[in-house]
Amino acid sequence: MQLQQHEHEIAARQLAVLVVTFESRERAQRYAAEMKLPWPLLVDESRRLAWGYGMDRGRRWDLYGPAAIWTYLKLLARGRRLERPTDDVTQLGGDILVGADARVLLHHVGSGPADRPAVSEILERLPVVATD
Amino acid sequence: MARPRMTKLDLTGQPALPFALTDTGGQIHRLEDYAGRPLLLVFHRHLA
Repeated sequence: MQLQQHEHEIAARQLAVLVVTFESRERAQRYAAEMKLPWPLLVDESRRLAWGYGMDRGRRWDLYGPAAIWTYLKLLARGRRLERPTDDVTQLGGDILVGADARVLLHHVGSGPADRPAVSEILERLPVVATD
Repeated sequence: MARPRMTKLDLTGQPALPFALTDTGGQIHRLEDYAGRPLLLVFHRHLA
């Protein structure tokens, strides 16, 4: 997970992270252990929250096109074992940044696996915290 | 619940949607638990 490479930077900005999956609890537990996720992995099999943020079905070109294939090849090159998805492969993901005032600072619905905002883009949206 | 069809949605500047979801350890997380600090929700389309 690209975000994990920025774990310390994220912690320094006091940004809480929750990862949300639509897959089963058993699979989520296996993934969290395998990836040594430093953040909670929430299970939303109903997908209501994702749908509320407009994460609908993706287009085939975005899901299976060159950018998506390149993303998966990079994961394989890093030694990741890719599992066959067990549910709706057209479901889109995304990133929602919520400010301290509980308002949305960044609303990004990914068009496919290759479409995620850079961590720097996410952190730029956060207000600078004054330090003594 | 049937999946709704949506047009492109942008809730930037709007109140975040409330949630109460359970993590892999059985703990419930709610939006209000994170009041006063920024929060990033990362939705994985599937666990590769």
